[in-house]
Amino acid sequence: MTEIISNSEKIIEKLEKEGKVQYVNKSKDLDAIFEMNDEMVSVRRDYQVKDRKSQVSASTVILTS
Amino acid sequence: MPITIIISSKPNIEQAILEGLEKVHQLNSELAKQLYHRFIHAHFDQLSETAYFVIEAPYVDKVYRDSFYSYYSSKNQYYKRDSIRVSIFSEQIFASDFRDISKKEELQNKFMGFIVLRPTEPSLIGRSVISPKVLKIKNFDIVTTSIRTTVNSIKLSVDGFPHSSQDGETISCAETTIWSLMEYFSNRYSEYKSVLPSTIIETLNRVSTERQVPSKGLNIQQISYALREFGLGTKIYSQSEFGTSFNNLLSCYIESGIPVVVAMENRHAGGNIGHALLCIGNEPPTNNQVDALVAKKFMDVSLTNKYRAKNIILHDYNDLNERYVFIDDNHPAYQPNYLNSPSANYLPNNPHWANCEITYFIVPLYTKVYLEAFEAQNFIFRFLINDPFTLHDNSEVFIKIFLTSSRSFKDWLATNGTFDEDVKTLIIETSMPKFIWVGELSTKELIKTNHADGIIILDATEANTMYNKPLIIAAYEGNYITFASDSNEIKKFNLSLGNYSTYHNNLKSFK
Repeated sequence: MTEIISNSEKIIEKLEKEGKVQYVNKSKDLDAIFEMNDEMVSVRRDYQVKDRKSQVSASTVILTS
Repeated sequence: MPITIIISSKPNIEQAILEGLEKVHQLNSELAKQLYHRFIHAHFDQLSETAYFVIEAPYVDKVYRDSFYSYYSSKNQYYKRDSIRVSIFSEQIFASDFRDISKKEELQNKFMGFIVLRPTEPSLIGRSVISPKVLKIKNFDIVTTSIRTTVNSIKLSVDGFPHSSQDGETISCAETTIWSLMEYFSNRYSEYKSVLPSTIIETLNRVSTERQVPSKGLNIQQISYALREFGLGTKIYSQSEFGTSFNNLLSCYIESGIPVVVAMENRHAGGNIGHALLCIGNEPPTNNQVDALVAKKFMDVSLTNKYRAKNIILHDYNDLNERYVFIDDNHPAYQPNYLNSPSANYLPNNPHWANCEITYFIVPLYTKVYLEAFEAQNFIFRFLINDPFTLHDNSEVFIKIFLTSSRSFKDWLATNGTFDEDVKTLIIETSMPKFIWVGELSTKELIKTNHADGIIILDATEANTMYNKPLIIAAYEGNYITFASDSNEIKKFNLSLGNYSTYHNNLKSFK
C-alpha cells in the first residue's frame, strides 16, 4: 500500500476555494517591491563598504595577550 | 613506566595535584604551591563541592605533545613531555566502578570532563573540557559538543566547550582560540577536522613573511585566514564600522548557536592589551531586562522614520543587555561578562586590563551561508514596514532573529504541539536550504513566556535581496505569505498562525 501523506496542496486548494488567497502582483504591489529593492541596494552598498573596511583594518589589530 | 591513578574528593584535590606537580613535573614544593594558587585553583574552585577526581599520570596529551615535538624538543634546555590528566565526576566514585560493567552507565552519568596539566609552567592548564553541569554557579545558554575520552581505561564522553590556557611560546591567545574553535567544530560536525598547534603554525607560515614561533600573537585577518583554510566561511565585523549594530550582530550570531571569535582591546585608551577569546552563549534575559528594552533605533534614519510614521514600535531581542559567556584562555571556562565591559573579570587582579572594548568579531559561518546577519536583518526590518506586507499601524512587536539549520528547525516544528496545524504542514512541506534565517515575532509579554505569534523565514543561501528573493515564508497578523523563487510569484493567504512556543534549539541551557 502506498499513501501520499503530504497535505500542502489540499490546504492551498481549500483556501483558494474559500477565496482566502491573494496574488501580490498588482501595480501598487510591484511599486512597493521596487521601492524595497532600492532600499536593499542601498543596504548592500552600505554593507559592502563596512565589510571591506572591517577586513582592511583587521590586519592592523594584533592579539597577543 | 607504570601509570599512577589516584581518586580524590574535592577537599583533597589541592594536595593530590601538588603531589602530581612535584613528582611528574618535578617542580619544587614551594613553586608548585605558588603555581597552584595563581593558575590552577580557580579552575577547580568553580566546581561543585561534591565533585570527585581521577588523576592519571604520566598522560600523553595530543595537543601538548604536538607542541613538544614541533618546538620544545628542539631547545637546548630539558622540557618534559608528559602531562597529568585530572578527570572530573559529579559525585563520589570508587576504584571498583571502573572494573564493573554494571557501573559503566553510572560512571558516564557522573562524568563531567577533564583538565590536563602540562609541564609548561606557569601556564599549566592544557586541553580541558568541563561540563557546565558540574559548576557551582550556572545560569546560561551556550553551544557545546560531545567529546570522547577515556578515564582509567573506560571510554566516556562529556558535553562541554574545549578550553586551554596559552603556553605563551607555541600558542598565544589567538592560536588557542583557533584550536578551541576547531576542536568544537570537528567534534560537532563531520565536515571539519581538529587542528593541532603545529598545523595552525604551518597554515599561517604559507602567508607569513616571518616565522610563526615563538608566537608573537596573530592579527585578526590571520585568525580569519586560518579558520577559512580549515573550511569555515568567515566574516569579520568591526565595531568602528558597524557602530550601534555591532553588539546586536554579535548577539544575533550567538543566538544562532555559532561560537564567535572576539577581539578585545584597550589600546584606544592608552593601554597595551589586545586579546582574542571566544563568545559561546549568553544568560537568558530576565523579565526586567525585557521590560527595560527600548524601541529599536536603526542606523538608517529613514527606516526609523518609516516606523515612526506608522507608529509601529519594534523591540529587538538582540538589543537586550544580558551577560555573555566567554571561553578565555586566561580564565577558567565559561566566564560571564557584559559586552560593554568584557574585561570586568580581570580588573580585581589586573588593573592594566581596564577600559577594554570588543573591537572586532569573526564569525565562522558555514561556507554556503551567503546571506549574512546585517543584510538578513535589514531585509526583515524593511519587509515588515513596506507595503504590501507592512505590520498594522500602531502595533508593538518584539522580534528575535537568528540563523539555524532547516533540519533542526523542521525537527522542532514537526513535534511542536502549539503551532497551527495547517501552517505547520505548509512550512514543513516547503523546500528549504541547509540554513535559514528565522525572525520570530511576538510581544514583550509573550516573549516572557517563551511564546511568539508571527514568523519570517529567509533562505540563508540567497544573497540576492531583490524582489523578495530570500523570502521563504512569512506568517503574522492573520496572513501567511509565500514566495515561489521559480516564478517570482508571491501569494498571501488569509491564515492565522496563533501563539506558539518559541524555538530554542541553537543553544543548550544550563541552570
